[in-house]
Amino acid sequence: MSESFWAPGATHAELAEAFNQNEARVNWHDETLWWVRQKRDRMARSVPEWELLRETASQIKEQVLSSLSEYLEQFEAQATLNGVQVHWATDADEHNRIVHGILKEHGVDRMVKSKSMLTEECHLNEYLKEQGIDVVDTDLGERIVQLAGEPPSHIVLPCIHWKKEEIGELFHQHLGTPKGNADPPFLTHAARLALRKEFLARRVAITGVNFAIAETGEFVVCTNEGNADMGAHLSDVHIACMGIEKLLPLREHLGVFLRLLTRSATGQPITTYSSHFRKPRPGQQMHIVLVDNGRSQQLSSDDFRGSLKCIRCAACMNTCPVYRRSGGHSYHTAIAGPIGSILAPNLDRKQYADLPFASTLCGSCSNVCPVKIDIHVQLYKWRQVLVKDGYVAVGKKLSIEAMNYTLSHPGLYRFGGKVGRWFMRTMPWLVNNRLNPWYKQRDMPTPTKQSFGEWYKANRP
Amino acid sequence: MSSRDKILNAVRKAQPAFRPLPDLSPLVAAANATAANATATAATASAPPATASAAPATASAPPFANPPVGSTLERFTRTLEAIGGKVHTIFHLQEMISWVLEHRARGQRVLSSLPELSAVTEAIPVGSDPHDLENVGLAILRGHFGVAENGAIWITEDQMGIRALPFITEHLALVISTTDLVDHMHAAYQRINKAEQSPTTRQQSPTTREEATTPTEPRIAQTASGFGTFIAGPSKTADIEQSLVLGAHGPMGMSVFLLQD
Amino acid sequence: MKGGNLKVGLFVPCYVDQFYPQVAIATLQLLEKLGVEVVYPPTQTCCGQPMANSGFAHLTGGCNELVTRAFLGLDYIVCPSGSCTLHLKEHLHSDTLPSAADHIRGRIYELTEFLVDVLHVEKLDAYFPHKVGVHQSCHGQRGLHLSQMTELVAPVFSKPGKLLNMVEGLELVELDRTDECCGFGGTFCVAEEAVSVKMGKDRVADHLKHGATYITGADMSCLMHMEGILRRARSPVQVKHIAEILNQAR
Ligand code: SF4
Repeated sequence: MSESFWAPGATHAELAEAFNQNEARVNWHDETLWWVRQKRDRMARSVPEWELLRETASQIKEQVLSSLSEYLEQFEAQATLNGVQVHWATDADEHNRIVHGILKEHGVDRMVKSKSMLTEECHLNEYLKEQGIDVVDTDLGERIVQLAGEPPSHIVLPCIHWKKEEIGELFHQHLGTPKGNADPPFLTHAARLALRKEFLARRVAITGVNFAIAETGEFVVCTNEGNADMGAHLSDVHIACMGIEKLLPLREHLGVFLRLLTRSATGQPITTYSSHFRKPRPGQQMHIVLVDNGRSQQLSSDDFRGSLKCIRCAACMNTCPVYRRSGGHSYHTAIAGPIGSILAPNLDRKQYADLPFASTLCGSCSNVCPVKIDIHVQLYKWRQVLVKDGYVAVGKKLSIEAMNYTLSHPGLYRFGGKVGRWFMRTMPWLVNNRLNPWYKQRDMPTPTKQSFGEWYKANRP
Repeated sequence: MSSRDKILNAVRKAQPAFRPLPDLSPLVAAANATAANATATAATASAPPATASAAPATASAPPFANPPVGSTLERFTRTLEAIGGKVHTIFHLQEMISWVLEHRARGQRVLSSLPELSAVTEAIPVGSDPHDLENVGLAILRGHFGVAENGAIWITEDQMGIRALPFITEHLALVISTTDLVDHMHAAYQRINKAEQSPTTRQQSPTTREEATTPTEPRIAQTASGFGTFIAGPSKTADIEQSLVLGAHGPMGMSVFLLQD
Repeated sequence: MKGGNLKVGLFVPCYVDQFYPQVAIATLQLLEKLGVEVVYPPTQTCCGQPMANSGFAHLTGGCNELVTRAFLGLDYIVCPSGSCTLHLKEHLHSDTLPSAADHIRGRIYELTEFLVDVLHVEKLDAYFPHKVGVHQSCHGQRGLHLSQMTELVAPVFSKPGKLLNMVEGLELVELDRTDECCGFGGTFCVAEEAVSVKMGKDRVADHLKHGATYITGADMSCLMHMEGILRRARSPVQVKHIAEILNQAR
């Protein structure tokens, strides 16, 4: 689904332009997410020690990255002692095969899943579908996009791009709700009833993991809906999938991260449920799949390692003025927005070469990030890497080189003729014609008679 | 080579020079100071003044911070109510009986672990199939303690009887004592760790890679609870156009009974 | 105000030199009024940011050398653009004159931070009887901390705001979103034309909604983008660089 959802080769700029065809909808999308950003601001301001909290969280994560192999071993040993089966997957494919193996062993062809960005990253749903296994996403937002045959457009608010009337119509088709009913409580209740049947009937549940504690071998799953718990506690087999970077050393570190996560994500003081899974209940099987999928590669880079601190709160998306006006799907990858734009190129430079350029480098993302990832600095650095590695269109390369040539030669710059002429010729965005993207919706600056350099020469001899 | 060894080798090669863990005590002290300031503020005071800014602000400058006010109990109650919970203060557990009977009058199945309510509730069928809880209308359980900064209550599986119960029930009621409140999550984990500590000595944060990785007696007892959760209000979702709906998959309502000592 | 014995080099961004010379003139006159000796080295061209932000930082050696040589041995370098200042502060280096480049990196100031932090300006002889909205350009704000960022839980301040409050007759308007990006973003403004324009339209609308008749800021590039949008909409609202307002006498 998400692999085939986007036309091959579609770029952020093209997808964003399509999204902008409907300005009223862009306004609605922007304002909805800005409202979430404002809720986040209010919650952050209720904690006067907020910046110290962020700094501490960042330092804990940096420490984890410096000792990750040791913590992984400690976690594995402790989880095993707790009666949990630990699996290791080097990449998405191995992760999917491990999950499928467990399902096969139990003869299961339908199961419930709560939100896990890792399984989105690994395209687990599509893989299992090909193997004849039906995955029912139980997070309401994820269920909505799943019924619609779309990937989530946001990592915390998966169907933030859907209007309630459209969801009403979708539910009318799939759940048999009355046509024209778009009342959120009504629709939520209809989904509750439908999904409760699934929870009660399914023997295997997959959940994501927000945090895992090396010291105790436990893992924490945070939801507002309670769907992870409903799935896990009613299942015979609970499979928890996590990236290897999710570890924290000690239990009290959860105090730091649980204070930050939901305040940053939705502007709530904490999620309704922060469940600490340590041991399976009697008679239940519990599995943990530890997934690398490019993370150890990212860890080796001084410039990009910091992206592994991410706790997937989505604050950087909600604040991003580009994300709000281009929609999550314009990023054509499982994790959209600023963080997605620094993660995706690590997985596939060619396919995601456009994403680090889908930003004005305004830096708001880095400021809201609860673990202080220097997102906008990494966007800048990815640009350098992608250009050097040859992933930027030839036309763009030539125009930048021409511009640079003029700017590197004061003689050319000064005597390029009439004011602005060289500029219009060499600055790629300032060509005064209809083909010029600048001029499409913006007027050009008024030409002046004299450059400042010329004025200075005349007036300050 | 197994995938495990491949991953561990790759990580070992990639991880940067060892860094020590940060000291949490300045943060805990700051959180304590926030709580102390809140308690010192008269609960009746209106919106707190913004902390003085260093220089003249622009016309639209937001206030620098808007810290909480009131006692621990007041903050807990206000926060929990803001996230959809109902708070009742009682002096005896028997006061809950009429409330239970109201639920029963609506035909609801009511389960409780509290012996004081055994006359009007069904005991939790510990060890039975969680699927049998499908029709529970109300579950009344004890929690360990509440957290003022977020309205959450910490509850472990021994208090749930069956792990699924607090999630599958239509309505959840948790009982804690008014003295069982902490100000913030740092205090919450101090309390959990203390309750679950193993008899061996407590270990300090490691300062070197060797210390960090030398196996020591675990701080947390292996016999400690296999499942625990913070519950903050009823189950909720805002996935449809950000409009808040209570009762997504779990309880539609959540009541907390604060028992005055 | 103790500009007396300071020798300051004026760095003029390339697009200001070509399209908005009045901004550079205002900057020069304002600094001179405050008693600063200003020189304008004629061999300067550009800070190199247009290339670097497009991923071509490796091409900026030429610009770097020009800047380093042009501004050798000055007390301070002042630039009426937060974005160019930030770029030089973070990225200027020179293979031939490494210590001169270091010196410039430590001594380059954006105009308003120079006025507030170095000259400690407390009073200005300026008059601008209009309703003015301030656009906080991102690089000046989040990069140089010209004013507090709304994302942070930290004390509020604004250097441009402090200076504008010294201007007689000037009324600052409040905005709904005090520090949202306008969408210029260098080559972003053409590479992502649709989003760039939408961001610019939304920013402009915020100022119009609150009755601004002028939009000002410390970066002419953002103002050029918003001016393009205002003109296309035939709006009477104008953009003016903060140097022009601060230099506007009665
Ligand atoms: S990068 Fe930071 S702000 Fe963005 S999702 Fe990750 S933790 Fe949240």
